[in-house]
Amino acid sequence: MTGRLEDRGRGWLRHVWEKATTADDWSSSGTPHPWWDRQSTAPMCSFPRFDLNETSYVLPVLADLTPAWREAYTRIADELIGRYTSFWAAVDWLTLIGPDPNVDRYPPEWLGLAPPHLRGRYPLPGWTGNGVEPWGLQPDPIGADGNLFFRGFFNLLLSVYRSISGDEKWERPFEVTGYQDRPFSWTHSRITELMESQFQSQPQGPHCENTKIWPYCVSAAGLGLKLYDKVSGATRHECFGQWLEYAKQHYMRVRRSGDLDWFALYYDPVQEAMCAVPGPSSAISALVVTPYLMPQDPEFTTQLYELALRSLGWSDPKKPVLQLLGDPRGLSIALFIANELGDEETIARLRAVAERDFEPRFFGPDGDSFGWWFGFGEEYPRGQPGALLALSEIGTRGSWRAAFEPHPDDRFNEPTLEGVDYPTLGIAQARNDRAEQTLIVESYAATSADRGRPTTVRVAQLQDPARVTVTCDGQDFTRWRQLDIGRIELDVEVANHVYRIHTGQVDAVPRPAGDLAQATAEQPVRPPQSTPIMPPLPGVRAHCC
Amino acid sequence: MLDDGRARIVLRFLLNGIGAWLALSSRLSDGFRKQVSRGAIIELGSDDGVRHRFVFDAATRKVALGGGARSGDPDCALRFRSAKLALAVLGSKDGPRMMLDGLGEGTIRFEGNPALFGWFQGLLGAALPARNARQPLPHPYVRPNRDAPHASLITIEPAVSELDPNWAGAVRAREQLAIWRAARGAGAPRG
Repeated sequence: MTGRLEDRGRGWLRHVWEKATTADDWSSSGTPHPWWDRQSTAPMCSFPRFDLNETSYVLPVLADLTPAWREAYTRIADELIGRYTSFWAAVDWLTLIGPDPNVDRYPPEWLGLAPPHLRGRYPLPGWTGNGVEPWGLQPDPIGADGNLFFRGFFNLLLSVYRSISGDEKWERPFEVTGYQDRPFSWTHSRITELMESQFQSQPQGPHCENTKIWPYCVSAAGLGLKLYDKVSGATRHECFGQWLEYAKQHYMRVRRSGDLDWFALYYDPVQEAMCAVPGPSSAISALVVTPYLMPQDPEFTTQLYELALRSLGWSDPKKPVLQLLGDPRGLSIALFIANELGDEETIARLRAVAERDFEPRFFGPDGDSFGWWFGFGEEYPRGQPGALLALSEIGTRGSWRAAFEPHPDDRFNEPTLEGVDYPTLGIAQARNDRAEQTLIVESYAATSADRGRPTTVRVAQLQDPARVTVTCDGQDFTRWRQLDIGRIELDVEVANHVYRIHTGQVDAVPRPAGDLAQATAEQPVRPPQSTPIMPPLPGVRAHCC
Repeated sequence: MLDDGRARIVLRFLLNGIGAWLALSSRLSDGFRKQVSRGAIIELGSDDGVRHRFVFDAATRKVALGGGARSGDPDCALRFRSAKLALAVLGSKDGPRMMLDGLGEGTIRFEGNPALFGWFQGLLGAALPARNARQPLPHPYVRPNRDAPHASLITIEPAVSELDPNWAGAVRAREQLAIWRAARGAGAPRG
């Protein structure tokens, strides 16, 4: 990918940075800042951790856009993970305990989320029911028979972090908050070990709550394993194929006419009950799995996307785009996948609706941030659907799938931009042009009020700084100096400029042996808690500002 | 083929019949009443003169006989351009598809909260004799497998029926959750 970060992408990144790096208290004695989305797609997704993981999806796409500058994305991912280890990330598993006392008291429009013959006497999606028979109380939100809704998405987030940073920080033991605030120790690889074993022993799929199996959550868990394999060289994802075949056979049905008949919202093996919304609305259940399945099985997912859009009439230019459910998630995902596939006609149709109904706007001092309000009249942009829409703004055709494949470059060893004073200075492009032996950097003022202010940036992982020459906007640029072996520092301005740093090097600089090994040392990891930047691990440069 | 006048008569008869059946079900079936979790007025009608209100009472969890006396705007209204179209959609196996097409063409329109119509449809199903909706699938996992390779990674304690009331922070946090608040009358959050 050789694009650049455009205005909306810059604004979304700025907003996400503020959310991730502003301290708030996710412990059982605190409450997350209200900009973390606890409303969307209720009752099953109206927990703030869904905002954490969905916010992370854009990060590997951004990292592919500016592969030679990733420290801001790494910091954001690290802050998201820190929150994900807290009480509020698992608030459903830790507080919605025992049989659901409210089965006949929910708003009528939610009762359709239960199998028809069980409505009014069945725990709705979202009621995780930790503690019920025969599962017992499982106090660890990761080490549980159910709750794949927690650990599957967590593994995806951890894998995103490692994919963009190359850092094994979360391979060191860290603590996750459990029932009654008891800590449980995990590492990233142990989580994937548990997931792989559950996939292997449960062909229907691990339970996402107690006891529902959701194709949506199982697909996300599979994607996390795929990304984990990419960053670690493991083979945990192989088990996913077995589940996907099972799902094709049992969790959906296509009519003889070739139209989608239904797609499962979830299956409950204890009740032996399939919950699938009848009619075209079932297509939304199919759509929500497509972001997760697309990198795992593009051919099948493309078929599913086409079936869903045909069922909804969204791909038919003769029909208006209707949204019956009042939830922007379906259309946001459809636009994201249309963009991923380069389905231009559908992009145009859906984008017109999003521009009209989803209230996109710049905000904040000087309008440097960007988000979508969706007409909800809230103080902050809505997090979950906004994060999905951001992918259709920042991503390009194939960029989502590419994020889960091996990097096309040697970014962890090539010349890398670091020490950028983000969000004062923003980076719209940062990539190494191997043929030109040049690092190309495009800067902008991420904080308009600081435009014109002086600042510095560094370039690291240089083989021979003495051979470096620099131009700025096509003119020779001499305001730089060598810092130490392999690093130079540039005096720059907070403004739009294009720097071409001729490095004269073709090969990457291998990281010192033991760099990553040091990351697995005995010391447990302390989550960042959104305060100061985590101290970088020894030798891991791409970690912080 | 019905002419317009007969179609209106048949639709009125059908909606009255549905209303009576729902009212009866709400008096006889505890399972039905469990689904009447809120008071609501659902209205079905056609632009050529048919209109029927189904009034659900929150306090008694019953459906009013004869359309009820509760006045005011319906919480959800489904209006067809004609009684003939209403009969075609309501009587078709492919009703959901025809409904979507009609909404797109403007021959059918919703007023109010369309999600309530899904609930109403569910109640129609609940008023019918129970069907065996079970769909057993192979290889179910229905109890903890202590012999699984990953069993040692899972902590299991005795079952409990409610949140520890002494864990004050958790009790307070639960009060803030959309799923908890909605069951106590706060309504479903938008989006």
